[in-house]
Amino acid sequence: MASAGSGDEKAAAAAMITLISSDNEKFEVTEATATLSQTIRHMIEDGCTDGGVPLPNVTSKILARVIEYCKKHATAAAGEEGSSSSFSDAAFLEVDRAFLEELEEFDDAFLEVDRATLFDLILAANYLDIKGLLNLTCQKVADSVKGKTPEQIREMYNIVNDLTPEEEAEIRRETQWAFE
Amino acid sequence: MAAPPPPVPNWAELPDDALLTVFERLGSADVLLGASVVCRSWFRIATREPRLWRRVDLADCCFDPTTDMEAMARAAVDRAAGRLEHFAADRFATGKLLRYIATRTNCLKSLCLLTCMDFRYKDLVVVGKRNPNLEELELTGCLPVRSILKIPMEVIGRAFPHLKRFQLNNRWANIELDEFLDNYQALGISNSMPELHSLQLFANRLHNNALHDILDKCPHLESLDIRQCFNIEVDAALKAKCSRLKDARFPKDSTKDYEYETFTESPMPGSLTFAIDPPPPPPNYGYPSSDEDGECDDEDCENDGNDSDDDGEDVENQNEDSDDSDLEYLGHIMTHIAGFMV
Repeated sequence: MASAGSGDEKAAAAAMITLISSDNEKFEVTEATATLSQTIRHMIEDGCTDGGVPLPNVTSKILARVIEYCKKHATAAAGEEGSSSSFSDAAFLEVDRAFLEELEEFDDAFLEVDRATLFDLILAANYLDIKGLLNLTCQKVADSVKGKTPEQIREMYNIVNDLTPEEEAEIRRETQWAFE
Repeated sequence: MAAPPPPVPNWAELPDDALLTVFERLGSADVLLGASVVCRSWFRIATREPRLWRRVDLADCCFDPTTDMEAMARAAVDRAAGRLEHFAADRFATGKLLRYIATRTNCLKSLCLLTCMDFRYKDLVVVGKRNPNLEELELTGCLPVRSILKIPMEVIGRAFPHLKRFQLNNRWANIELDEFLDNYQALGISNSMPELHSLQLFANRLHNNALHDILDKCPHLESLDIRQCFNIEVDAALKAKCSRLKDARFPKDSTKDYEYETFTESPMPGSLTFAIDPPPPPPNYGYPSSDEDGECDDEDCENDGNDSDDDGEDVENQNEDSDDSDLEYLGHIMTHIAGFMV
């Protein structure tokens, strides 16, 4: 399975896909990069990517970041397939480890964004169905609200408490601890 | 990043899948106490997505002491809507909570209790009756205060017939009764948990012959951790028997990667097998019979009182028939140990 996969990967690497952002900017990416998005993968499978893939929900600024992420992780995926088909001796494992560390550093740097950008990245990752990016960005949100009270979270993310008094009373009954 | 952010992002309107991904990464306690009460849409996701509550881990969350952890746990179990697979709790978990879980869950795969004192082994049996497919059980530092005697492992093994991973961790204290009961527990494990793949007995006072019995009767065992079990002498016979294991940790191995604080008392030099060279004769299981009668009478009386005021969960009555007194239980221990020693 690994060898078939890497064969596909090579064929895909040659094909280019054009992604078009909401503000009409065009981005040329390899199919291997684009197919990290399940949404785009399905479009390619359905053969409806000729003339570019319009992404009306994603601005050029966010799309550029998403592509940056996908490029890096597509290389990582290709690297993994390559090494799994070869003998797993110590040297290869060492290379893998170094590569994973590099990827982790990339992810950390990638997340150095303001909250508004983070929000847009989450929406894009969700819309484009890029599991890794969704996990990465949501982890950042999770880390930031860990140990915080509801009030602190509302403040941090500018969320209005829209629970009606009736709903609050109901929650209060169910979850007494949260209001003490 | 310099470009002005157009509209202010509305975090209350995060897509469901994204919000679920956030919640999944938060842990049960944080969702219960914080995130789920932020606004209506966050509350909706937290309460209406049972898959978020398949794993409820409320161990090791240090909240202010006024937090009603048991109420929180019950809410989490409710939100799982019968799909609870993993439950972990420390200190606050009581027998009542275990029975609450038992009435609402039948697909529990793993149960972890840390330093829980307020339950009886019968509460575990009730969980087992409803969740026969449980595969992982951890009882670390659990000394049910309402039973003077320890949890009878044979009963636990029968309650969870498919147990694959079992952790029964103590803190070391050189008490003769404990030593005696630890051996009994070990025999209970060997007699009732034939499917075990992994066994951790940290700071247990079992002796070599009890351990051999486990190794003989648990043919699937791959991983064994007997660190701080200072009554075990790692001799050639034991090493040979352990050679089939993928992973074996011996009494004096480093405790650095042990998940919990060890609280281990250093055993007194000379009092224990490991400190003496050459090895001493095999240890004696004998236990003075006068003391054990005393313990038993107490326990028996206490037993009658407590069971009648237990509240009437609907699984309660299934339990009555197994309500043998701890006196009988101790008698059983004695017969068993005697038989084993011959």
